[in-house]
Parts: sequence; structure tokens; C-alpha cells
Amino acid sequence: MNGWFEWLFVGAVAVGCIYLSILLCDATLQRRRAAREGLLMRRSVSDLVRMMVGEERSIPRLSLDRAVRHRLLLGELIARLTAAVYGCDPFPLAKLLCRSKVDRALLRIAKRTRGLRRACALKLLADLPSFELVVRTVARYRDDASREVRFAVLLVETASDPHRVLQRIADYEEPLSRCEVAELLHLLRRGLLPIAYRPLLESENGNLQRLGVVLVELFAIEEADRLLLPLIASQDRELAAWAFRAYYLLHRPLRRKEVVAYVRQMDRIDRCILMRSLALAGYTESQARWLFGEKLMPRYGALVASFKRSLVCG
Amino acid sequence: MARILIFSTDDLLTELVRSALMGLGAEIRTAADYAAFLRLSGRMVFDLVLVLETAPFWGGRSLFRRLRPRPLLRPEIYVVAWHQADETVLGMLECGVDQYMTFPLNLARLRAKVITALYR
Repeated sequence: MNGWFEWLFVGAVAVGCIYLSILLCDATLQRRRAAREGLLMRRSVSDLVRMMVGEERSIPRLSLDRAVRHRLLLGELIARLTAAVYGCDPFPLAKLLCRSKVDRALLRIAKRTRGLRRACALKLLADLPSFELVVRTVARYRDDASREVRFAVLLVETASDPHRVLQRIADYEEPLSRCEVAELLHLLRRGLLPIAYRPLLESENGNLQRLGVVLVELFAIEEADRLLLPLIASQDRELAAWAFRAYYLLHRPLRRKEVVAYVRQMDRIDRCILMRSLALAGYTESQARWLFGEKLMPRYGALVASFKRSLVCG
Repeated sequence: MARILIFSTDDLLTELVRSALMGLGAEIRTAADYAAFLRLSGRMVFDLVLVLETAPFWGGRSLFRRLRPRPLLRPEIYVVAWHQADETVLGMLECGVDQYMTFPLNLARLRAKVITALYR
């Protein structure tokens, strides 16, 4: 019986060793492949830069073409380069993408996969110059079970049609999260999103209002404070929180009825959290007294002192 | 021959900027990590140092003093980074950085600025 157990033990150890060796080999191969891909990508950059600045008219053969996943890598590389550069002619890159059939490869990945992998493929498509076929094909994922995929479809559609960006965002049914708005703001860098905040804040659509609030916060547009007040008073609690954050980061006066009403309906814990943010934003005790009352003021005073702000009483 | 040093931990950005600055008649060196950056800047005298991130300057003016000791007027130090916040930009300029540019970058504009800095 003992001998039988010994054989079983030796067998288990052998299987474990083989399994670990396979894992080790796989990790080594992956590391080597990643290093090779990185090298090929770096070698291709100068060719792509020459195309972007118009020095190279023809489409050259890239070092990257030798990689196994060259279409995906080329897509990633062009997306990264176009994110880091502006003012270059996008036509040669679009021609290169078309020749290499990168969009088709990414659409195939999106078709084969699901969830986050599908969303990643679609987001990469959104970062590349888009073609009619792509927009038509990704439309089928609009009702996908994954939120990331649905949002990635929105990104592809907005990037492909700059004239209808706001319409597309307004039509998006779910309320946008902060991260999603940040991703949409990348369109701004590419010149695909208008910077006019007023129509956004004045619109009836929650997503457009969210976008407007983040724009105001990002560019510190102080004149927008009057437009933020109705949003602070809105029934949508998340939107109100966003608007209030933008409002106090602009360091606007707290003695407004919408602001006071908003803070009054907060519970004690939320008020304590808010105190920290207001102290960090540089509000004095006399400015904050309107919101917190005498009972909480010593706490606020301690916070202001702890932030070592040399504040002048307002 | 003018000398340019480019430092970034992101290989692709380094290569992008290097490719954009080729053909200026300058010798371009690159450093992929902080130790190599310090080593190169200590060993050679550069006319322009391009740093593609803000992290090296988080320690205040120490790096600046090391790159450009007191009586020297060279190298010019340019920082190109993704940060757009006023505090970051002001912090960099207070550290002694000569130019702060943000990504996304216009390659033609960068090239023109570098030519001005090198052949002033």
C-alpha cells in the first residue's frame, strides 16, 4: 500500500514539475515576444513620423510587418502616435491602415471576443481614423450586455462623425460616469468636440450637462457659475454633486440659496467629507459658516488650520 | 555639432521625438531610465535636454542644478508632458525649466523651437 502511495506522490510531483516548466516556458516566450514587438514598434516609429510630417509620400514597408500580430500592433502604434501629436496630415496614416486592413482585424477581434476584450478592440478603433464599414459594423454592439462595449460603440460613432457628436452623446441612454466623460474629452484634444459649454449646461439632457460641467471644471470657466446653480438644485443627485464640485473648485461664493439647500440635505458624514474638500479649495471659516452652522464650525476651523492655508477672512 | 539629450521612460515617445528632431545636424542621445539620464548628462555637455515627463523634477531644483551648474548657461531644459494643470506648469518653470510643452505635440513647432534653442 505504501509503495502505491509513493508512486502516486512521485507522479503528482512530476505532473507539478511539468506544469511549472510549461508556465515558465510560456512566460519566457511571452517576454521575448513582447521585447521583439517593442523593438519592431520602435523601429517603425521613424517611418511613421516621416509619413505624418509629409516627408515620405509613398507607404513604406514597416519593420512591424514582420511581427505575428502586426495589424493589432500597428493599430496600437498609430493610436498612440496620433494621441501624442497634432497638426499632421491624417491621410497617409489612414491609407496605411487601409492597406494593412487593421480595421478588419480589430472588427474580427471584436466579433470573436466579448466583454472587456471586445471593448478594448472597439476603443482602439475609435482612436484610429475611421471608415464607413467600421461604423456600420460596430452598430450591432449598441445593445451589448457589457456597458464598456456600449460606451466603446459611442466612442467609435462620435469619433467617426464630428458633426453629430453632441447628438450621439445625447442619444446615449445611460448616464455617463466620470471616467467615460474623461474619455469623451479626448475627442476635444483631437478637435472633434466643441468647447462651447453654454449649450451643454443649458440643455435638458443629463449627459450633455455632465459633459458641460466637466468642461467648466477643466478649463476653470468662472463665468459659468450662474449656469451651474440650477444644476446644483436639480433632482439628479449625481449631476448635482458634479456641478457643486465644479462650483466650489471655481471658488465661487457659497452664500447662494441653491448651494445652501444642497448642503442642508446632506447627512453629517457627507458634510464632513465636503468640509475637507472645501478647506482644500481654500474657503475661509467665515465663507463656510453659511453651510455648516456653528456646531460643525470648530471642525472646519481645525481642517483649515491643518491645511496650513494662510487665508484672509472673506 | 550641437548635442541633444532626450529622456523618457516611454520608448515610443522617445523615438517619436528623436525621429522628429532628426536632420537638424545635431547629435541626439536618448536615455530610457533615470540612472542613464544622470550618467549621460554628467559625462557630456549638452545644448538641449528634452525631458518627456515631469517626475524627475518632483524633487525641486536639485535635478536642474545638476544639469546646469551655476555659471553655465547651457543646456536649455525643455519639458514635454501630459500634465496641463497650472500648478504643474508653474512648478516646472519655478524649477528652472526653460520651456514647458504639453502633449499632444505639434512636431513642426517642436522642431522650430529646438532649432531656435540650438542655434541662437
